[in-house]
Amino acid sequence: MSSEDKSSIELLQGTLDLIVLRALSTMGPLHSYALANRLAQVSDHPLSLNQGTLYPALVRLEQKGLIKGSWGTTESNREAKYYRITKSGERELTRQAERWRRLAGLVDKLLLDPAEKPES
Amino acid sequence: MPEIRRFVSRFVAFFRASKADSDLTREINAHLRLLEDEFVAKGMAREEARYAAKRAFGGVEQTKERQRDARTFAWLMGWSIDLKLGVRMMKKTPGLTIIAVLALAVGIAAGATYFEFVTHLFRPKLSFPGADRLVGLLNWDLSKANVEDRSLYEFVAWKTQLTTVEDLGAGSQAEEILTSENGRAESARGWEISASAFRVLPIPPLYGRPLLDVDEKPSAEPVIVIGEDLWKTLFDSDPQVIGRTVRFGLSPRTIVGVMPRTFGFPMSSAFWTPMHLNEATVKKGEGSLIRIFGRLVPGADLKQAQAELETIAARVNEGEVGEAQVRQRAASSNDRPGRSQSAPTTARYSVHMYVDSIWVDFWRSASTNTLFLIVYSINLPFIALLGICAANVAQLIFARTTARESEITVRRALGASRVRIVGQFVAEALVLASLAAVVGLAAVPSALREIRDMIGFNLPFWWNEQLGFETIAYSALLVVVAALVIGGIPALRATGSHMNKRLKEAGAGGATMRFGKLWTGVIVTQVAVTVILLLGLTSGSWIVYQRNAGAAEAALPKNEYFIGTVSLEQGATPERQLAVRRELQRRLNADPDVINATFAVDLPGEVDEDTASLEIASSSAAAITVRQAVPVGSNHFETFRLALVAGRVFTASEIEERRNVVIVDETFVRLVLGRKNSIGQLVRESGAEQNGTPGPWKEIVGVVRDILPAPDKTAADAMYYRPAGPNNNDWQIVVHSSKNPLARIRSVVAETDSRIRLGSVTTIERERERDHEAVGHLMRVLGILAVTTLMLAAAGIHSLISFTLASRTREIGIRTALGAAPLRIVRNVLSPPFIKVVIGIVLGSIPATVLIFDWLIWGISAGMISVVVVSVAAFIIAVTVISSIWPVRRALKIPPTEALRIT
Repeated sequence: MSSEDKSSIELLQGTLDLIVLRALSTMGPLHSYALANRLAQVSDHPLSLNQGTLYPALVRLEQKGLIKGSWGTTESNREAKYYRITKSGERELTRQAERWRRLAGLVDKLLLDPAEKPES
Repeated sequence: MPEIRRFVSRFVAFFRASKADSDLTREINAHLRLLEDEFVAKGMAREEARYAAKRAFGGVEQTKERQRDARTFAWLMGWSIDLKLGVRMMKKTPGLTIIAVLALAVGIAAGATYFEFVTHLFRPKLSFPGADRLVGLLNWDLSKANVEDRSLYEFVAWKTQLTTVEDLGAGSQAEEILTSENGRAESARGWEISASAFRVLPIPPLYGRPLLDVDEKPSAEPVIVIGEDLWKTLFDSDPQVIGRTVRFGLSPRTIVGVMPRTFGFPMSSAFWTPMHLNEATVKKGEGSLIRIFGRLVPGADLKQAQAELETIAARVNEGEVGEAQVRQRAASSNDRPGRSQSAPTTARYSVHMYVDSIWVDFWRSASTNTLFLIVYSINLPFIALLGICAANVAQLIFARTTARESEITVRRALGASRVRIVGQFVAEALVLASLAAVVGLAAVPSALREIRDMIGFNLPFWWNEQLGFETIAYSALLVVVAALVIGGIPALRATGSHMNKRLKEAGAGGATMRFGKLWTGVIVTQVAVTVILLLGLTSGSWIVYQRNAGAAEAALPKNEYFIGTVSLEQGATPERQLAVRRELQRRLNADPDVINATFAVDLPGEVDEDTASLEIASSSAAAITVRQAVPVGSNHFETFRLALVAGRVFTASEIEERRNVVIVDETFVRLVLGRKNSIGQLVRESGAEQNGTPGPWKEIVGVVRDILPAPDKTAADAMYYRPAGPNNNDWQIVVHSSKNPLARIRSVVAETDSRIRLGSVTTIERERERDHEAVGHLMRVLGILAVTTLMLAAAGIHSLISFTLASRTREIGIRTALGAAPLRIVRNVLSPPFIKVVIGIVLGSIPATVLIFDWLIWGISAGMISVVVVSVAAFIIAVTVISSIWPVRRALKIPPTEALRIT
């Protein structure tokens, strides 16, 4: 694995909870397989992450009451556990997204080359 | 909030692990099937798609493990495995488990019993309706800073004037003989009490009704409410008991109710009779000793009640307490309602929450916190006892650890941290200690009942033998302490700094752990303590036997002799004491119900009287020790029916002036004087004075019959009587009467002097029974301790010998192979542990023998002590031999080839 891949995984793991909440908020209830596909699609890097990595994040979010899982049936008539975001999950998503944006903005500012600084 | 929720969920998940695991497996399988479908749709064969799905998913088991880690606490999972291992180890070594559990159970039970006793007695949680309003009122004697219990005068004033306290009542303790219609009699203690007692503690009667206000009227029919115990013993639990008559002393009373054992207000009580109060005749500082109680009216608090009490105090004691003082006291006292221990030093009257009012006299000398600290710090000896038990068990565990030495070494080599291994040992010990706690706590109610029987009468109404939550929590703490000792110490030693060496030797197949000085010290101490306890037990049992025999032999109808302590007010002059005693005795002897009455310091048949070493003037023989030198008062010989054989009895002036005259018994004449004419002979006590010089010569003026007609008496059993003198404060009144004279004694005492305090009056027979019960309790405690230490010592010796043999198996194998005789091998190998046992016996025997000589001299001769010491030593040696038989046989049975291979 290249060092670029490795750092992208670390970054992804750090923000996994946020990404899962975002996916569920946008797409509605999803099972773990669909969630994994969605993550791969968004990150545009299908092999960056084993799909099993998702499970600790799911149990963590469920224990916090931010998502809720229930068994259902897929279109192909397979059983699957569907997760949906709860109200407190939505609130947490808003809070965390805002925090993330602030953090990202701050990091962005810090990394900005002084030479590129727009003139004020 | 989500974090707290997750924390709780992780704990819950630990207990629902199997369901969560099966749920996860189901979810992962569903996930894999969907992945598989996707690969099939992309054109793969089903089998190939299945493998591709697993690859895309990643390691299924690793995923499960990671999810488990996130789902619950990893350390909790680790501990659950350790605990399961602990249970398995307990099953594997049942002998060790039983001994360890019993030993720890004794330690935990002792600690928990004391904690429960103290907590329940001093800090009870009263939970009946109105408990938060129940108060006690105290009248203080400011000159002595004492509670003045002769408070009928104050009670009458409060009863009519106090508005912040309702159901105000008072009670005084009483002792009486109750006789049922069929003649069954029981001496019982109870309370003469206001009917409001039954309202402040609203517990319904088992049968009938409680006392009512109307019962207190002088014209009311004499009634009585009896307690459950009396109902059982006197009336065989007859439900038809209501309305029947019981003779209370000499007068009949109608039984109107039976109260359950849970009532016992204000203190343990067998009966309750109504308090008749003649308010007009009550004088200040007179009357019986009473306890005053009541309930705050709804809405009132302690502060208001105290202020009102102060106002009344000012009115009642007009002239004694100025208004300004009252205002100052009202402002300064009772700043903390319910914790008003500071009040007594300033207030003349004080009101407290009821429990505080009971203990306020006890607490007043220091701050509450300090005293609680002192009371609770008495826990330390019990913790030390548990520590000793735990250290013993730790030693057994350490011996067992030798069998796991290679397991520990390999685990350390494979990277297990020391903390992890110690943790495993502590978890195993925790299982053991928890089981011991269950056994120990199960014994606490019995131990509390034992304490109740020892204390006897004066236990407050809230006393019961149930375990409180605080005690269970405290026991949990003891379990943790014990687990740390019995698991931690062996584990730390087993994983100590010699791991590298051990690793090398483990590879070569050698046992490296040593039974260090610490454990050797523990075994020696343990044997010594066992010897001390066994010696104490055997000597104590001998004394009990002697005492029983002595008491049984005393040819007195002991149920006809009534005794009670008599005291006067503090500061009474010797002249006054003498005059009062003389008058009381005269009046009692004049009473038609009384055959004879005397004052006595010691009672016949008691074996713990003074001993005296006597010199006889007419004999050049060395001083002789007589066991009983009895100080007597006037009328002593008549009262105890000791017929005069020769000479005369003491005159009143001889007794009061303690003149140098003595009276001896026939055994004295026969065995000490050699049947010579005894009257006029001179004797003196050698070393009677402080500087060791002999006392004055005393003339024998009379000879009386033996009080104990035992056939095989020695000179040590001879008795001599001396005048008691005027200033003895330990007087008991002794009344011989074939009738029940309790009521008469009380009235004669009251008529003689209103300031005489008469303690509880009981028969010599009952007093003897109480003595025996008390000694019985002590012997039981000593017995439990002796059995526990003996058990631990036996187990310790067994483990020491097993350990010795295990570490020398290789040597035994070689010596057996070289043809050494088994007996010689055994002798050689077992000498060191046997020497340790002998050292323990010697170390224990010396202080025990000294103590027995010093304290338990009565009836125990040097020869007997020698016999007891030798018996105990032989017993311990026998235990050692028995403990070593099995490991020795096992070691000798190992074929030399195998011994050489396995070591």
